[in-house]
Amino acid sequence: MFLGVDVGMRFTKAVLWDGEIVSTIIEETRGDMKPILERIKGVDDFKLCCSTGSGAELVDFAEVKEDDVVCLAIAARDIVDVDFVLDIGGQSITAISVDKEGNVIDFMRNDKCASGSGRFLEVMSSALGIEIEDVDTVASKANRKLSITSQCAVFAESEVISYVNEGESKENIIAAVCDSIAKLAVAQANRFGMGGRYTITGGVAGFKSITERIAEAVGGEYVEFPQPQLAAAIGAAIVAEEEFGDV
Amino acid sequence: MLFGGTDVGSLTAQAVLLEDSKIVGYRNIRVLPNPVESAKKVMGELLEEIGVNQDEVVIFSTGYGREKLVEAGFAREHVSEISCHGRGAFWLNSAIRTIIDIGGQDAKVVRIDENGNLTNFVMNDKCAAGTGRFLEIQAKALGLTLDELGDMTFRASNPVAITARCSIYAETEVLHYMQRRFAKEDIAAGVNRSMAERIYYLARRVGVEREVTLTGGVAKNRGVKQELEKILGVKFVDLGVDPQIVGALGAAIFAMEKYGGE
Repeated sequence: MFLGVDVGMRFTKAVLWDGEIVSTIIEETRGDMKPILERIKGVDDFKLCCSTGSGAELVDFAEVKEDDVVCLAIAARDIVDVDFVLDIGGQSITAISVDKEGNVIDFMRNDKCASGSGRFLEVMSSALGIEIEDVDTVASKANRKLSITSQCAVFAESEVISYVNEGESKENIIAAVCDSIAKLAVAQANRFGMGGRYTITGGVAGFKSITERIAEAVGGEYVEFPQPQLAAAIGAAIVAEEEFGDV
Repeated sequence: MLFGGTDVGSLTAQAVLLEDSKIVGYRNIRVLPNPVESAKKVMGELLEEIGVNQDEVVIFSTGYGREKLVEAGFAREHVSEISCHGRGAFWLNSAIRTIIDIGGQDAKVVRIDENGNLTNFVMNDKCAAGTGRFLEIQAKALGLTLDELGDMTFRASNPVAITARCSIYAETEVLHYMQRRFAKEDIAAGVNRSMAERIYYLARRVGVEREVTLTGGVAKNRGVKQELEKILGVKFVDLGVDPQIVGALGAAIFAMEKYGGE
């Protein structure tokens, strides 16, 4: 068995891998990562561990470290077989083009601005008092289309609060927030020339109210990635497996 | 005849009254939810204070909802904030060539020539970085008022580096520094410096020619002001009035110039 650990800006994900997912751990990334990493390390016997993500170097027991863009490309090759990956993480949006061997052809990343990221969704849902896991359920009950015009998370939050003050329903507002995240993701995907077969990964890809809107707007064929938040961790586990085979 | 100007921003609204080319009064209030109501309130309070009726005053509007104030019959005409800031600053001091105006939700740099005519400007109202909102968010995270935040620059020994441009990511950095028990003064000074850097990058796009003045609510933050003077290598000229009324003053001057001959 092999272990893939993805220490992201918002969440740390670990996947124990044996040709398929054996077990997983998802924890919020914190200042002190020691207890979380100890738990991950003790999960079971594994032959080799590969870490990835912005905090990859924190995983001191990982024999291999790999860039998260590479891990996403490898996960995409083995799990969904696509030409493009759109990763929407806690603090970044990355569009990646990959070939059949799982090589990265090109990628484009925005991690300078919270616009359209998981943080954007967190800020808005918290302003509305909606638990993040309830976003899809609440958004599905929307009955009126609203629009959020600001790309900046700070200004968009003000728009959300104005809607609340005007007596607009939470359902309609959160649906507008999902629309706005989808629009920002689509803009990035289009700038990158995304099309063909593509998948969406990262924490935000777990929200159907967002992915469905992206799929409507991006040409080509959308292939759903199962448990999309784990994509980079799965890729890391596969990297560990391949590395072990080479030794 | 009196001439009035109103300027409604995201957080505050101002009114200025002119008579015989002199400022006879001004007022600065927190905004109401509706910009038209904000302008009416601030001007109404000022008129009452001075003791004149609205029909004795020609009012020009600028800022949010400036067109609506004309439609509502409250203002005779409306003028852009850019023009008003240029006009107001030049009228107060004809040596001014650059006005840096930092409001609650926008930042603008206005360039004028030796005749006070607008030559160039740049504006950011798309991103909270470099606006008053950036400071508000960080002050809240630090548990400081905006005034306290501004003064921290003078009490810090070793300002921290805030590397994120995004206000939300910068807030995370501030919280991390607090968790790691860095001195509040040093974190706050880092925030003020980072704010000054954002404004510097904006100003660089149109160039900064002396004399330079800083207007808007953020001009009252002494820490940002000093940091910005340091980066730009200039001393800001004090216009001798509340730095938040320059836009409203400009509007009143436009009213006076156009209707003063009646």
